[in-house]
Amino acid sequence: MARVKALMLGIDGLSYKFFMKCSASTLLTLLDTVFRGVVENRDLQHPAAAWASALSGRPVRLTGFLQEVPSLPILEEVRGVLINVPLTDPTAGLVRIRMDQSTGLEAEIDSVREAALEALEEGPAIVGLTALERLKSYDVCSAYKAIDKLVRDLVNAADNFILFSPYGHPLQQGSGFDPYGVYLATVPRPKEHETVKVWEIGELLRKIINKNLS
Amino acid sequence: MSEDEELRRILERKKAELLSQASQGAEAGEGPRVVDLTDRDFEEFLRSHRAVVVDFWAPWCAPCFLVSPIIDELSLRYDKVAFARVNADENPVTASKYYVLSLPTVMFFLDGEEVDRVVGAVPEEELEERVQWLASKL
Repeated sequence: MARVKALMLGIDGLSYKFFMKCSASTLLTLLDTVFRGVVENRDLQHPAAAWASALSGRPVRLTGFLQEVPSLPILEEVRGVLINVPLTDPTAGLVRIRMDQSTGLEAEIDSVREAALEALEEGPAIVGLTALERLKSYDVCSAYKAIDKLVRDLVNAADNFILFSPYGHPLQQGSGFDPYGVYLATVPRPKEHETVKVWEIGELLRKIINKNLS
Repeated sequence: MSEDEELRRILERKKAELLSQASQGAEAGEGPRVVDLTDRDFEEFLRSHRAVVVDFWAPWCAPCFLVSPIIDELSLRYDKVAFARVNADENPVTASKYYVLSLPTVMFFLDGEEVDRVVGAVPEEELEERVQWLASKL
């Protein structure tokens, strides 16, 4: 049986506030055409905590990276290919990038695009992009334009997708991240008048896959 | 005048002073000059400023996050206009009183009266045009 081309794309640090300012056309089109919401995450702002929560379906409190990818319920069930997911340092999956300044945004995007497009040919892909939180300085709009192109390519290759950020833009004082992240998906958020919790995202991926298999 | 009445007036005067100081403090600093208002202090804020722009938002509203940075930037460019933000979920009395039925809604007040509103996420130019008009009336 053919597997579902479902994409879970998590872009740590992505914020709605730069969509219009940076004329990110794909992201703005998605905002207007698919289900949208706001991820609210105040206390699971370490990338490993956020991603482990998303892939477990419950809050997982971690303050550091894991040594290896553990058995996570949703990950086991959807059997998606991991690509550059910051559960570990270097990131986990087909693309492995150190969580420091050593890899630039374009290089990360190129590696992720290639691996994700290939993975989506076979089934679900769980993809991370970490540059917005890893890199200390970059031109925000150039970064958003490059991410916009990546999103266009990956979303076009998927039948269903969840694009999210587990938290928003890094705060200026270096004290964490804006608690409000992005949720754009082919599946509606759980409650219309509430924010999306990061641990609900994996459950939504499971919903996409089960819906397509039934 | 009863003691309660006098106390209420003192508190109101103090609140107006604090709101005014908050605006002036932000003017002196580099951050956006946008005051978060609640059902309790909304009317007082309207009374204490001639030209006011209010951004009604809610945390679950994605397009609200497109508008808020625009309001922040405009607040830095138009220092004669007062800028405020109201979380419509947490302040239903104000949202309901001004018939805020969709989010985001940006309302424009002159001398306490609504003179214009914009519903939905619109480009910066559309909001700036209205702020310019408001500033021109001062």
